[in-house]
Amino acid sequence: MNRAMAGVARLDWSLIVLVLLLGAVGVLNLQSTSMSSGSNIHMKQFYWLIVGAFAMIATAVVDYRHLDRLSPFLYGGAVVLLALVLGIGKEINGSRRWFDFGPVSVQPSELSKLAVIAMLASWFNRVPRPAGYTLRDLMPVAGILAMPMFLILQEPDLGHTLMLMFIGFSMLAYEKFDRRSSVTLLTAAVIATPLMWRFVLRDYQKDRILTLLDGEVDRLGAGWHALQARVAVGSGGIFGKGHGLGTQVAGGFLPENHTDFVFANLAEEHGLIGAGSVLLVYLLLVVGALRVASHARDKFGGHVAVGVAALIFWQVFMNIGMVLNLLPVTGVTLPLMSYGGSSVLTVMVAIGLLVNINVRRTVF
Amino acid sequence: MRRVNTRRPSAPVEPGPRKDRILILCVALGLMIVSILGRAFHLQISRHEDFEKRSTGQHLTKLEVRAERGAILDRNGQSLAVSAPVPSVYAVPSEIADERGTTARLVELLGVEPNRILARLQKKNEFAWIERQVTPALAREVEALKLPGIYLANEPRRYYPFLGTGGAVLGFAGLDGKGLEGVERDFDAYLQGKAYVLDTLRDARGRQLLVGGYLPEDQLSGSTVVTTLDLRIQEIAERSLMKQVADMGARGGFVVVMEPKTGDIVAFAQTPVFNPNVFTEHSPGDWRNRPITDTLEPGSTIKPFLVAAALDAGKVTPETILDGHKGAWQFGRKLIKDVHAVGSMTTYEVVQFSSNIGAVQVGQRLGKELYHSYLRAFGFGEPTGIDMAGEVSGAVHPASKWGQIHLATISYGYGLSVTPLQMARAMAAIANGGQLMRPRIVSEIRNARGDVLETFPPRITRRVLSEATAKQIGQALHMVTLKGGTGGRAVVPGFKVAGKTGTAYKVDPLLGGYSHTKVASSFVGFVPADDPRLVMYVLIDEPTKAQYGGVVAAPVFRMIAQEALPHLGARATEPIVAQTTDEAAHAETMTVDEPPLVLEPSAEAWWNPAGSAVARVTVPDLRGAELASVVRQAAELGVDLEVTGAGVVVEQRPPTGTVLGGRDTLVVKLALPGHVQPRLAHADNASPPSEAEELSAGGGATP
Repeated sequence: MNRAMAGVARLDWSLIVLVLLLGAVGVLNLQSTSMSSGSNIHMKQFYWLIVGAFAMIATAVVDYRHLDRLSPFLYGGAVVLLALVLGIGKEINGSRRWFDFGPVSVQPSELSKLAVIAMLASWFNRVPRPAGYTLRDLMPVAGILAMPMFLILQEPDLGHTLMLMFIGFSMLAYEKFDRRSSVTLLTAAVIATPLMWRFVLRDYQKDRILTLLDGEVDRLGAGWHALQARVAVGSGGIFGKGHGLGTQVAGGFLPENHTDFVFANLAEEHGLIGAGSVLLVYLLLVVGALRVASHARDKFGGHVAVGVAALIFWQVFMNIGMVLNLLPVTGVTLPLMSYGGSSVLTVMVAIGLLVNINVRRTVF
Repeated sequence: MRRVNTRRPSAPVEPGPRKDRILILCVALGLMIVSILGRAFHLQISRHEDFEKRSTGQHLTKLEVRAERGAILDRNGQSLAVSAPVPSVYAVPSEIADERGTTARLVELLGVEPNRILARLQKKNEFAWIERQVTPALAREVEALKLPGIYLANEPRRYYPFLGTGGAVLGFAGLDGKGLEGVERDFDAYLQGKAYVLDTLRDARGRQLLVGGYLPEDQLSGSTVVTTLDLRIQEIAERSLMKQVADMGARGGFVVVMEPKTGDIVAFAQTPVFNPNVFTEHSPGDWRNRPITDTLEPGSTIKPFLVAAALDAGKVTPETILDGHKGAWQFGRKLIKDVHAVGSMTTYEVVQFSSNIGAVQVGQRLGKELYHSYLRAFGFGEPTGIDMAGEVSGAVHPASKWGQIHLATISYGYGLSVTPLQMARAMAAIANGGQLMRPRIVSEIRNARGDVLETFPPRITRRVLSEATAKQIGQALHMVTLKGGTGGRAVVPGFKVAGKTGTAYKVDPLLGGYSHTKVASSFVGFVPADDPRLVMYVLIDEPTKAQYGGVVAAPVFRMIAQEALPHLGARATEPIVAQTTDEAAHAETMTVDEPPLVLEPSAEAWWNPAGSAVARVTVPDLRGAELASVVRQAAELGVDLEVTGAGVVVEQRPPTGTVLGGRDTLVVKLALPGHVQPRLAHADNASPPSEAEELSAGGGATP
């Protein structure tokens, strides 16, 4: 009891406040997008947030160091699910990403991000290289990343494939490298890019990237989302059109307005002020996660916190970058703002981990 | 202190480098956030106006709507031109992915020109007409195709329910509702509905949602123009003219029917009949209002004006005796001949026998200055001032340029040119006691609710003759139609008729002089002679079966008057005496029922000359009929019509079979085929094929 009290006393309330803030803004924003369609998506999101809150508390309570031991099983389970979804998943819009359980669909690629973070953190914890990692040392890391990335790419889901890669690289960046290995790695990346283009990406994915480079090239095909998002954001101006007064969503011009492109509605209705504020909240959340990492009592905790920071950051960056036509259109959701149970749960569990690590931080 | 179950101890924390790494990550993160913010700034502030416009452009459409064009009525309130909404097919090309496939389907259904449509679709504009003003049946089929990016819109279409009757006077309005010819053009400012701009919301599928609420339609719709035409007399005039032109093997002709006391144009008939419903099928020459745009040499019909002038100026009296020269008179270099050779004649007999020799003598007594000023006073050589565009003034040369021969020839109607309307107007001045009236085609303007907004009262241009002179010359003109006169065939049984025949040789451009064969036969007169109700000018151009105006043109006057006078409620004043065998024979052929211009079975009641009192009529089944057909049928029944909606009739009140009389109102509700209520769905097929054909003929006329 005493210990529990001590834990509550050490809670990082700022993280929780930021999460609640984002959740509330997200629900309000969904309420605006659902006005035109008359759906109650915002209420469903609200219920998911409540479920997520319980998941967050549960994650925060049990000592995160158990995760270190469990991570291979989590990782293995995630890989099995990713393989299964290719076989028995529900096909939507030409891709198999979801397990369909009647009223609820589960997206294993969302959950796999946490498994990969835990697995990598665990690996770095188990294989310390105080002098810096060489490329040979990192072969297992490449393996850990490659397996789920490959499976997710088969769904296909370029967004999550890239997410795993970015999370992995971010966690690597937190580690120390052998100099020669760094150079080799960079060179490899430069060579890999055109090869990826040629052999890995599918036509629709290439289209999206080309569209980004020239938004007007195909206004009705791949460019439609991008253009309409740009029009939505741009027409919002500084102060926006007002809550519920956006016309891009209401008029049905902007597809996926409650999932991937939810930020466009926010920017249209609340302008640069609203969009910038939400971006600031995300920034605070990421900085908070990194602060948790820097105070972590062990290497595993630090890596998990960095992984979570990367998860949030990259998802925000890729999603908003996509909405603002800075990055290609990939199906990456905006944490806590996009509608979706899997996405909400993943983010809430990740925040739970941060709280967990923070509560058990070293005290100087 | 804490319960930790990890088997291996965690690696020790390495505070130094980790903090560095955090810093590096923070900086990288910061840079990316800045790039995002920069991009947001660029979109939302620098390019805000672009996107604002774009956003507004794609969801807010300025829909310019022109309120309904006003109707054109005849003097009795019959609708001569009405507007009704009909569907038009348009495309939003930017929404069409498969231009070729879409084009192929449209060509198949609408018979549109493939290359033109494909080009329009490939332009990727926001809007392109595919086919305007199609039949509801075709619109239904287009709707059924469910082609993406192809939509229907209602556009008002102009209908002329009585087809060609009065067509040239009415003119026509173009597809965009702008009057292009005739009354439609000359009174366009009144007829045109006001344009108003609707802000409509458009969703991504291009469906338009009206933002604005209630529109005061009746304040915006065009005004009703009430013409002076009498539909009935117009039809009689056209029918009589057509018959005589055919019977006489003539090239064509005109009829002007005027009300002498007001100067109202009651009918303007001409050949060929111009049907404004299908104006593109006519050559632009047919659009002309020939009674005001064409001139001719009047020939003998000028003589009453000459004699009237001489009487008015006191240069002759009714008792003046003129030398008949036994039918041939060498006047200077010119031999002047009369058909009716006499030794001597009275002033009236100059008119009655149409004596050229007498006319030249009257002209000599009057003198060229006076004659010229009288001709101008009668309105020759100047536009009549009728509110119609395209009127010409004719030519009366100044007296100073007249030589003796000119005075002589002008005395019997050569050497000046006049329009049919000028002739009718001048004759009206004689008929009404000496006042020259400004011809009137439109009497008043009403708003959509029927309130009078503006009236155009009859206008007197000037007094030409004293009332006494007018009476005298009227007497002479009456003598023309009596035994011995040239205009016996103009006589309407039961009425005294006054008038003058004319047979003018036409100028033959090939001969460089007057033709020996081609004549313009005319008759101008009024009836009843004592209390004139109608003035008529009839001209038959180049008749081949006969030539004299009294034989060729005068019967048309009679045919028209015979039907028009009962319609006007004029009572016969004269005993109907047995006519000369010649005339009786002629009359016989004249009384044979003429086929009406509009070949519609139910039209008989309407064209029945005795039917001026409104008969009791039975309401037909109108369901499924197009508006044009409804308007026509209602007019034939003589009932008022109240129309709501657009498309084909889905409901009518009172129901089929009800007997209506007098000024009863027939209420019909129209709906577009797609919106027909299920219980009335059969009505779609009730439309008789003849109407469908007729409408498709009309619809096909769109350029």
